[in-house]
Amino acid sequence: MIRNTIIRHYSSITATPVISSTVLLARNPVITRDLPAFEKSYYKYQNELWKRLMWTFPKWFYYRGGTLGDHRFKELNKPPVYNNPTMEFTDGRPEIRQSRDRRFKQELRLPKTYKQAEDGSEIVDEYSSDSLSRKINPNSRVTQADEKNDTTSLERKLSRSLYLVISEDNKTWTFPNFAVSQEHEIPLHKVAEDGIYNLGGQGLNYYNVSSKPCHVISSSDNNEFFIKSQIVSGQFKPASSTVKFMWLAKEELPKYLNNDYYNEIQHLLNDI
Amino acid sequence: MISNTLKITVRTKATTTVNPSTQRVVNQLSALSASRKQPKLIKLSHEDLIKHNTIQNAWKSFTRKQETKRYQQLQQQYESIHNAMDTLKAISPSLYQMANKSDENNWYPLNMRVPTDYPANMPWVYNHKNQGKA
Repeated sequence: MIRNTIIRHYSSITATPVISSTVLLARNPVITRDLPAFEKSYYKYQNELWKRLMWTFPKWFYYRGGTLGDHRFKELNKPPVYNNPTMEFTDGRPEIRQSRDRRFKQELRLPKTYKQAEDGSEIVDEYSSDSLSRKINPNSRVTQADEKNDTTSLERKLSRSLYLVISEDNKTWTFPNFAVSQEHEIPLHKVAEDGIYNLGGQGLNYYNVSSKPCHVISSSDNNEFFIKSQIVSGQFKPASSTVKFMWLAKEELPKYLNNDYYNEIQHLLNDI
Repeated sequence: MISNTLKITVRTKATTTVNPSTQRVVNQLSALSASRKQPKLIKLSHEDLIKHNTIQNAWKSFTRKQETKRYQQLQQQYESIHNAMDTLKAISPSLYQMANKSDENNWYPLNMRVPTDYPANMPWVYNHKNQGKA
């Protein structure tokens, strides 16, 4: 039912069958996905096992004895308690090989490239801002757009695929849909491209995944074909102020789309 | 006479007559070899072994579920494309011909970023202008 209303927005009543082209314009993830708790703990477990079974670090190969580097390394890595024959060890005798207790994992602390204060924080001096050896502070994975919950921003939910939905009346939200004219035979992906440029301006660089439609929703005389494409750079800026748009992740779409419509196309959308 | 006997008894440091390049290879091999570098074998108790196996089984079933879900989705997508193309062929053969052209020159854009662990200072490039279009 909603399909008929969508098509009525963009096409005049013509002879059957009406063909229209819908764009699934996606913004690909910018950062890697958030790991669920189970995966995170499993990877941690495997990582600990791997560290426990790792060979001893060949220190003599990387730090030649008597050099300054060797000295710095020794300052950071104190040798383990040695196997003193006159002492009793309650939890087993240490087995020292190459100054590592081979019963446990070897924990290495490497000399830092920047000056450190006593508590491990970086000492900032006038040279550190553009120095190559400065401490690397990665940007936050949560952006300002996430905090403000700005759904029109392309910088929200960087770890997810976002899809463009538009609305003319701010009530019914749909994917951008464009009617294919009966007289001029223009390929479906071309119709989609022209429609997106007319609707959202020229400041948009996108990649069309294929000229073949990836899905069709057919009712009595309407055929809505889906074209997949991905936004590479630029932004969607509607020319008319009546057109509202949002960038939504897969799980946010059912709130705005018609339920049957969403269920029909949900396998086309990316989970990540 | 005395000095002669002394010469014989004095021990000096043993001088190795190894080529420096050979010594370098020996050093490199010492870093690669397993001798005196291997940790002790992990000996799990019966209870720990059960715990370990439970974790591995949980992981296996988790990945299997994910794989089946992914496979089903791919199959659904394939059927969708098949169905869409069949419908298009029935409705409009000319549009079908245009859609069915080979995609082999449709290269993936090189300026598409690969996902990283942390975002760049500017997460998105906004200033794009289409050259070819008016």
